[in-house]
Amino acid sequence: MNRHEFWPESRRGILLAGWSSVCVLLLAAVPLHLWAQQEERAVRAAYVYKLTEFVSWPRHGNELLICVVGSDSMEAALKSVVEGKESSGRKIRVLQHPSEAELAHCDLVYLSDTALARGYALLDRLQGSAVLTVGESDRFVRAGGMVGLIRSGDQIQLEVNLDAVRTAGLRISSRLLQLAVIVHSGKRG
Amino acid sequence: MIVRANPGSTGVANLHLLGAEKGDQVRFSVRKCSGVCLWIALVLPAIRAQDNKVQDLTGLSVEDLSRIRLFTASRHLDDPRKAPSAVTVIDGDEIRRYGWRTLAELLNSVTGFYTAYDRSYHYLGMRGFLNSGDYNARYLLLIDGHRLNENVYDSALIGTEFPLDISMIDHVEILRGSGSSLYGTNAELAVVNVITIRPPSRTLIEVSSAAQSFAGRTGEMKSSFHLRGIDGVVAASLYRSNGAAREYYPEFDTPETNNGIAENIDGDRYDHIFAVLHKGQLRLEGLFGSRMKIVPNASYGTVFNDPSNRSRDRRGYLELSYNRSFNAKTDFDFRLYYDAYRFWASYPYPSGSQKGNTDEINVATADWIGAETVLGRKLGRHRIVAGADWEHNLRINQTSYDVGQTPLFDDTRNPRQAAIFGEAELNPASWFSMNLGGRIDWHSDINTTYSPRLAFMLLPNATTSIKYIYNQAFRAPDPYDQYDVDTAFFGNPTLTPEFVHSQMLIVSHKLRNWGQVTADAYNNNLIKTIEEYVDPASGNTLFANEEGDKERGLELELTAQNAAGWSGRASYAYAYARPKQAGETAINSPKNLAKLDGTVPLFSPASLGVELLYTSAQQNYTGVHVSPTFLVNATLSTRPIHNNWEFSLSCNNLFDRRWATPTGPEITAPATVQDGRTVRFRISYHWNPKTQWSGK
Repeated sequence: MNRHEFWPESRRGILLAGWSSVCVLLLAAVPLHLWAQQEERAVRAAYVYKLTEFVSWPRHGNELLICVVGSDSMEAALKSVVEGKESSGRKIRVLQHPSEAELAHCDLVYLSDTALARGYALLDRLQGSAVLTVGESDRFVRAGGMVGLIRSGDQIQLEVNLDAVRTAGLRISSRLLQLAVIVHSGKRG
Repeated sequence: MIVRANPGSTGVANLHLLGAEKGDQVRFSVRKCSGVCLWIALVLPAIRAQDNKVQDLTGLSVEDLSRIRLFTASRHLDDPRKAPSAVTVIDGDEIRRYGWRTLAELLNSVTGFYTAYDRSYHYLGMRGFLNSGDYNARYLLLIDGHRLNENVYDSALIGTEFPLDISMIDHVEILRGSGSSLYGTNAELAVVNVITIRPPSRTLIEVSSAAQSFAGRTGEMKSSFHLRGIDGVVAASLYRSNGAAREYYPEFDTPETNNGIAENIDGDRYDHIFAVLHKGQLRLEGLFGSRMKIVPNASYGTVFNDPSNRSRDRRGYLELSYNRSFNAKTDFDFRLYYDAYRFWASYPYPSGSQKGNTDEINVATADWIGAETVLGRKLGRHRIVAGADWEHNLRINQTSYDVGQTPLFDDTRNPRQAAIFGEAELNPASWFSMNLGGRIDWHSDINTTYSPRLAFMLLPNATTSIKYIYNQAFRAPDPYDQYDVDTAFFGNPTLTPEFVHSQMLIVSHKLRNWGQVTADAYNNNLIKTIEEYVDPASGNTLFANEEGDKERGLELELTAQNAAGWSGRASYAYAYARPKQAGETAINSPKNLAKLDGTVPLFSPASLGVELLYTSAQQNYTGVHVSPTFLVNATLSTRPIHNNWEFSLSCNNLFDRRWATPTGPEITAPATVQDGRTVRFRISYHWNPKTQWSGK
């Protein structure tokens, strides 16, 4: 059946307008609250938490310090999801924009892609220390970062630079490696 | 996809663009509506949603985390609880456990579906509706969201003619109910979206081979890799089957026609290539499948027991897509594609005076390009999706000729189409959700169509959902319905789109952590269905909009699984279909379908999958009774042993029951006898270079 036949021309416009105003009114009338869905930040934050469980540090205290470089929104996500949680008996604290002095105490440094240039400098500085470096791009991992949480299509893919992890004296569980792509350091590009 | 020679008929397709004058009026209101859609798309993102809370997913296992799909603008399922249709999801593991060889076998296990096979093509039935002449044009089949129904016959190929190897499937989302409000034409009865395996996170090469009854053999190779930031999967597979050496067709049992014995002419073969490459947000996917079938039952009145009666379908596409999140809430998806379809068939007819037969060849060629863009945005707890489609047919050509002769018909078209669509998922309260959507399709040769959708969902708690859905969906006439292609098949350029108005009530309840029960009731009203019929006076096949059917029914589905590996899916469907034309009864329409698919874990890597499938009696188009069928299929399969070897042994129709599915007028017999007991043994080897060295 063709729509023309049972929707007279004059009424069609009114119906369409009515339909869209109902739609718009409903959208406007309802308080805009948080929406709980599998959004990227939530998945990244959960991965960071899982990393703290699957990586063992050579020596550690009672606190596990996660430092975020670059992204305010990731810091917010990590603060809301992982701060205060316990991981292998250590209480997690999240710190944003660590100072030079604070950097030495970080167990995990999360570098967002927006801070990639700074990230390379940071990687050089952290070379050899037992700090797990986590980034968001393939380039980061190839530049000597340890773990990449890389957006690939509609999924977050895990990349691990095993050489970098081992050089830092960290150990990473094979269960996690099963899910990861193993990459090697290359030229920075 | 047919044809019977009927010399003497001329007839040039009388084409004209429909509704040229009407079009202006329509466009006027359409402009208003597109204005609204634009407004929604542009203005609403500007409204600032104040949300800083992030969902806590740390309770998930890392394996589950790796499987999570991010919010995207695509029209795929986001939250099945809020999907405005009845949804069944079949995952790749079930394909292994139940040993399905084709998509048709997979779909035959799904609540409310049944299939028929006429030894040329597989037809899908659902809710009491199966029409062998439509080549599944009332279903929308997608691969990774890409439309697979081609542009000549609108066919959705599901048997060995499906152009993707079934082992490449990650999962299949089956949405029972209409989907035209998002997808446009063909999404009348159901939408089947086949999602291919993701490029796995590790390099893997998998080689498989299978041997099955009737000298059937397959070879498959798939490889995934990760190179310089590019994830990819490349796969190729082939299948060859000789078919039964001797098949008896009583309707041809005369000395002149080999006493009804078709010798060595049930062969089937396919070749598939599939590749997908990901780089960041960019994705390139390509597919090509070619399938050739020899037709043993002398369809379309051809000469019996002649191996030149055969058809070949080739389908391919190349799609470049780009998906980008502008921030955590806005997502953008853009696709650009080129699609191709080639049909070739040969029909042997007696050539009159000379010796031997004359082969009539039918060829259909279609190439089309298109683009699609979808914008998705979360607004607080709501979600909106808006998008537009555009498609241009470079050519749609239908030709028929007798071998060595000039073409009887040669018809070329290049229609264009465009559409806009939108959907708003409104969640005013945690227990109430509403889905408002619609789509407007413009087509150069067909009237503009509107496909609204309205759904209300009650979510009283985390385990229960109650949904009411109203849909209007359509199927546009395709070039095969519209234009003459042969001396005995006359298209009808005045056909209008057919519609279905459907209402559905769905209640779904999650049973702790072990299962889910879903019940739905529906009422479908099919209007102006496009049907082919044979004119008794001339014997020619013609197309017309007929009154259509009304369908009512109930569907029940129970799924269950436990950690030890037991799992099952049981379903029952009752369908009552009634043609509106007085005095007619529904054809190919079993009232009752019952199915049970169960997996029993055996010793460590092995499991046994058993399928029990019951289809009640049905009537074919001439009123011939086709007996009920009860089939048992069983598969013994393993997971990869030591990460390397995987085995599977399947037996279909375990008790060797004789069964048949109804056929259409193109086949002489009222029903086609199906295979008896068949066996398949499959072996795969997985080579994973990483496991060899990361264990250090």
